[in-house]
Order: sequence, then C-alpha cells, then structure tokens
Amino acid sequence: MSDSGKTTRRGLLIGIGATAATLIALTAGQSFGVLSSLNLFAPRRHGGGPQGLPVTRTAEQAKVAPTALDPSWRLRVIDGPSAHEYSREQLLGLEQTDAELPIACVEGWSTDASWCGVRLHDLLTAVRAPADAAVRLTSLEPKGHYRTTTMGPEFAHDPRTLVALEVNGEPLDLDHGYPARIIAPGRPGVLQTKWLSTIEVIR
Amino acid sequence: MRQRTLRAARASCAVIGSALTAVGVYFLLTTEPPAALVGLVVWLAAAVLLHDGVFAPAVHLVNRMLDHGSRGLPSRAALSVRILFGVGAMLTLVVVPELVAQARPHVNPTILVGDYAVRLAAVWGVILVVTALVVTWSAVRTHRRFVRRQSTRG
Repeated sequence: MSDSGKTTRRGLLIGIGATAATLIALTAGQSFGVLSSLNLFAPRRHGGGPQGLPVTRTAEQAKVAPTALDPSWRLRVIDGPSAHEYSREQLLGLEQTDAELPIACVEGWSTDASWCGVRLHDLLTAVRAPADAAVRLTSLEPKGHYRTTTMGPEFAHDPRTLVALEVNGEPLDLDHGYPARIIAPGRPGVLQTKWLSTIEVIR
Repeated sequence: MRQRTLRAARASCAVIGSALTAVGVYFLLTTEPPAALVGLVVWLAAAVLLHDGVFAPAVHLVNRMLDHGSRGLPSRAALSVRILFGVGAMLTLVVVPELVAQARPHVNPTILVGDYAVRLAAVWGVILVVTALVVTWSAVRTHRRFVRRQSTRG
C-alpha cells in the first residue's frame, strides 16, 4: 500500500492471505473437529445431525418415507435374467463388514463415520456378475439428479464398498438412507446412494 | 543475478500453469457431455458479468471511500485498515446468503443452525475496535516522532 492509495503487490498478497485465513478459521470447523469451536459461519456443525452425521438431503425432501419404511421393501440385485431379492433382515443375516469411511459432500462438509453392512462385492458375486462390470444404483427417490448413479468396477468390487445397514453402531437413520445405502471410499457424497432400491449389473 | 532468478521462477510458473490448464481443458472436452459444456459456458459468462458488472465497481467504490477515509494515515496503518475492512466485507458476502436462506422456509434441520447475524455483528464490532486501535497507535507514533524531531532540532 502506498500513500497514493494504490495497492502494492505485497499489500494485495497480505490482504488476500488474511481474508483467506480468516474465512478458513471461521468455517472449516464444520469438517475439522479441532476448529469446531471457531466455527462461526459454516452452515453446519461438526458432529451435528442424527447419529453424529450431517444430512444434505433429508428423507422428507426426497419424499421417500412411505417406501423406505414399508416392511415389504426389498433390495433387488439384478444381472440380466438373474435377480436376487433381500429384505433388510436377510441382509443383516449375511456376513457383515465394518468400514471407517468419510462422507465427503460436494456442499463442502466431510465427516468420518463407522459403517457396517454387506460388501457390495458379495452381493454381486451372488448373481455371478463379472469382476470388471460396472453397476447402476437406483434409489427409492421418485425424482432427483442422483436417483440413479453408475459405479465403476474399481469401486463396486473394493472390499470397503458396502451396502451399509448401520452407522456409528446404530441402524441407519431414515435421513441417512434407511433401510440400506451405499458407502464407498473416494466417492463424492451425492454418489453414496441413500434409500437403495436396486443394484443392476451393466454388461 | 536476483533478477535472473526471479525471471526464471516466473517463467517456470507460467509453463507449469499453462501445462496444467491444458491438461484440465483436454479432460474437460473429452469427458464431459456437450450439454454440460454449454452449462459451463453459461455459468462462466454469468460469473464474468457478475464480476465485472457488480463486484468490480462495488470494490472500486469501497476502495475510493477507504482511500478517502484513511487519507493522512501512514501507509502501514492504511494497509491494516484496508485489510480489516476487506476481511469484514468478505465475511459479509459469505454470511448474507446464509441469512437469506435462513429466512426462507427450509426442511433440513441440520443446516443453517447458527445465529449468523449476531455473530457477523460481533465480528464487525471486533473489526471496528481493532481499526480504532490501529489508527490511535499510528497517531501516537506519528506524534512521538514529531516531538522527538522537534526536541533534537531544539
């Protein structure tokens, strides 16, 4: 900054650095526990929401409550003519796997959680899906940009990719995708399909 | 020697930056469907309009006002005041959309949970107090220097 009112390069850099540092300090606490006491302006609180996890899209917004809470809900795993159907109880009867994975939402928050459920790989093996096949995941949501998503084989057959039934030691909250949802490592939150309805092998 | 090192550093930054941009453009054009590219162009055009039509004139205006207000202050104090107002303005730009969203009906109880208006007012209070301290400190320093100069002359 000079006396003539013109901004010098150093002044500009100091200003940008100070504003960026302040913004990070006052908002990053929604994702980083160490900064949560400084979180004045982020839209979410760290550890807020049911079961200690924030919710981007609620069951009410997605209009899924009637179908998700229906006792006749079945998860359909389809590979051409071969199809398997599982109730939640049947899924709970299969081998359960634990995974510590974050939900990293494109809306700017990220939170780690302990998930428990059935490996997607096991369900795909049951319908004899090839190891290099992608899958199409469909949610119970009647509409929404991410009602159906495609997952490549590198994710579908990862041993940490689960059809999750529990989070942080409790059955999934309706807002977190009850009766079953996808949780996979390294995928943005919008692709971690909640209120799972069908898993279809793409050949 | 220093000039040459600086020039080399700038040139390498330019080369690395251009190469990374080229990689980004290549993947953008080869992986995104045409509809997404059209959407991107519209978004970027709107961003340019918003920046050049609204943001830049507003910043210029505020800058002129700050210039006027900090006239007579030593350059360091003027820089501090400008940075403090910059921080406050940026936080305001972040918080106003949150206040607008809070005022509208929303069904997700896990977002927009803070009392953002009170917090923003508190932060502006701190900014004003610090600004006052900087200006006072600067005035005291200038005065002391003036007195010292006068006494050595005398």
